[in-house]
Amino acid sequence: MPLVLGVMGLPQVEVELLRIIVRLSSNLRSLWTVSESQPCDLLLVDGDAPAAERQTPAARFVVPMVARGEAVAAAPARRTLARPIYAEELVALLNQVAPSGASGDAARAMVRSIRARASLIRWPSQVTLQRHPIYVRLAAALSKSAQSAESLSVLGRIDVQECSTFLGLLEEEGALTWSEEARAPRPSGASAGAEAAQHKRGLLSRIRRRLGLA
Amino acid sequence: MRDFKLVFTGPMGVGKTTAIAAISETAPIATEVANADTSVAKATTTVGLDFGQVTLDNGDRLRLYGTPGQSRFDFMWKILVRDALGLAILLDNSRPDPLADLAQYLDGFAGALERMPCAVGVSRLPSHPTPTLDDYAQALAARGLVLPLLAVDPRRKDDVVALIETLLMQIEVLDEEAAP
Repeated sequence: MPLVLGVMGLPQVEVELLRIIVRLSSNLRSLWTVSESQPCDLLLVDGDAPAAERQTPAARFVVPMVARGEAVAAAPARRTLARPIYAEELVALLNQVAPSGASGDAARAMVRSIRARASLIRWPSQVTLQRHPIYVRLAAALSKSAQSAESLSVLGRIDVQECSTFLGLLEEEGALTWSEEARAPRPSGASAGAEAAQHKRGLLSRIRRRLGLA
Repeated sequence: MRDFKLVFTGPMGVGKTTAIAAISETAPIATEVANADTSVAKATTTVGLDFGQVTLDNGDRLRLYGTPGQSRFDFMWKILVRDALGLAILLDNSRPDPLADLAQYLDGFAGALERMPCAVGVSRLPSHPTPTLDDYAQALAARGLVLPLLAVDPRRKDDVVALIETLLMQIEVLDEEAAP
């Protein structure tokens, strides 16, 4: 279910701008929708935030709009959003307040089996990739074929839960497509193809050793 | 003893020769002439190819080729990329239209890209932050492509190796898929 960005007292042109940014941004870690009437997860208000909080107890966060370069006098460290609205600042704010963190992400991803396979439909955002040094390599694997958390764990020599977390983050940002069927286990026979694959794996290991990657 | 090949391509002056030099065990062999293109402040440019190599522990060799940067030598691109393990496209974010540069190389290597592992390295991002890597990802997605995108400094061995590692990961999963 999408998170709700509520607005109170904002000019209609800003509300439409917020809608466009939320709809088009590829860097949002959660799905958001803009509403002028529903209970919301984050409320943007034009004016006095404490007064708005009294009127809208359903909002988890209330953020006042301020002129650029101006902090809220009463609470300078408080979250604000500056006018004119910049897309990247709104996205950063929404990503800050969205429920996240490795444990939450992992929990969401673990709803799927660690054998469920997925592949990328676009290269992930830098926000996601910068969360762990291994993510670029895992994404490279997902760019060419569908992988599960389990198979990524083997490829990346990393804990399966980290791979599940990564898949969860990719799913949240809409960079992933799932293919539900799990790959059948391969027979261990020494066919010519298996031998060639073994040889190629040996080559990759040698290149990695030579480049200082293994 | 067998030879394998990785190819580096990208616009003139992006640092293909430098990237190869960063990991080659020998100084790259370059075929350079005086630069006649006044739009790029560079004394010489590669007309044939750059060549470096690393020898693996069983004697096999990984050969590193850099394509000529100027598009008038694009007939060389297809020759160089044939039977390569992978292709690295290097782009320079300080150029006037780096997304157009990307399109040029995607078009030029379209046949190879259908199957061959490929990664894109973008240089000079710290001094020229736009387009961002996310912008490049969007441009690739618009063409139905998902390619690894990394910020690179061709002078830094670690950056070049990281780019190559994304190619190796792609090779590995493709081989896994092809295995019976």
